Amino acid sequence: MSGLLNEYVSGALTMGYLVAGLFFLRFWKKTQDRLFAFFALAFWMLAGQRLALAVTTQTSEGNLFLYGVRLLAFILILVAIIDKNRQRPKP
Amino acid sequence: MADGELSDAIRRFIRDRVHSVEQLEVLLLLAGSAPQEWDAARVSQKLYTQPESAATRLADLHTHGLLTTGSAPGLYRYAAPTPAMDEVVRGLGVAYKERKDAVIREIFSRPLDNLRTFADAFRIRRED
Amino acid sequence: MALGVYLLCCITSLACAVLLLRGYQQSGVRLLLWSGLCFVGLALNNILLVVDTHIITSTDLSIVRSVPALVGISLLLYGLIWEAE
Repeated sequence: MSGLLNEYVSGALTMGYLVAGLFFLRFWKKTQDRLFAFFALAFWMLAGQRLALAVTTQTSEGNLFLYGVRLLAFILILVAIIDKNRQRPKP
Repeated sequence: MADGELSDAIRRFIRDRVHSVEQLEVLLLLAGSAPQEWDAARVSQKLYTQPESAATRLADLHTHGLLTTGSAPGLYRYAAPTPAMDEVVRGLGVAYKERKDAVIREIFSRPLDNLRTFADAFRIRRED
Repeated sequence: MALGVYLLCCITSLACAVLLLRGYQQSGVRLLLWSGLCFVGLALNNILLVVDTHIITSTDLSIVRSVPALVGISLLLYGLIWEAE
């Protein structure tokens, strides 16, 4: 039961991240603001990490690699914030 | 302007203060007839729009500092805050006559407000 | 090493949450409220991950720690669909 529920939640999360990423992609096209491109990539990496967690047999090294992907996603968000703060504000 | 490009000042004005074609038409109507005073009913008659929506546009333009209240409640008169701004509005009026498509395209390409607020939330220091 | 990774994820999501909620307070734009809450959920998810792997190792908390992320992403999608334009 708990295993099944876990997989259900994991699948829902993957889809949620994917869709949110798509929205951010559209916002990037609309506003030309790079921040949204970074966010789109970050959310897709979170989706990818969830997917990879589900399809790989879990070993501790493999897990660490996957959490590296997760880390990269959050680093992308950090980069987006830093990039935003380095842009000259629009007049 | 001859090559179809709007000037930077006009584009900036559209981005910061023009939310819709209707709002632009209300602004140009009042600017073109200044110092005449208008209320929502007369604006809506002239532009074939709903009086409620004309009232919203007038109030919007008033908050943006482009109109002042007139001699009676509900009456508005065009009043640009600076001569430079007035010149931009006049230029926009000419552009809207001659290059209507370019002006309308500019209004619709205006980045959505909420998205801009979202992106700007990540600025740690505020400029203003 | 792993702990550092989890903590950085946690700090980043908290920073996003704070910036977005601050933006919401200043602008009243509800898109910022929903996305701010989403990052609160993600931060909670990351905190629980640390708890699960480093503090309470005896029981598996994988469902408990996914729930805040799922709630968060649902709120974000709600905001993106209803409040973005």
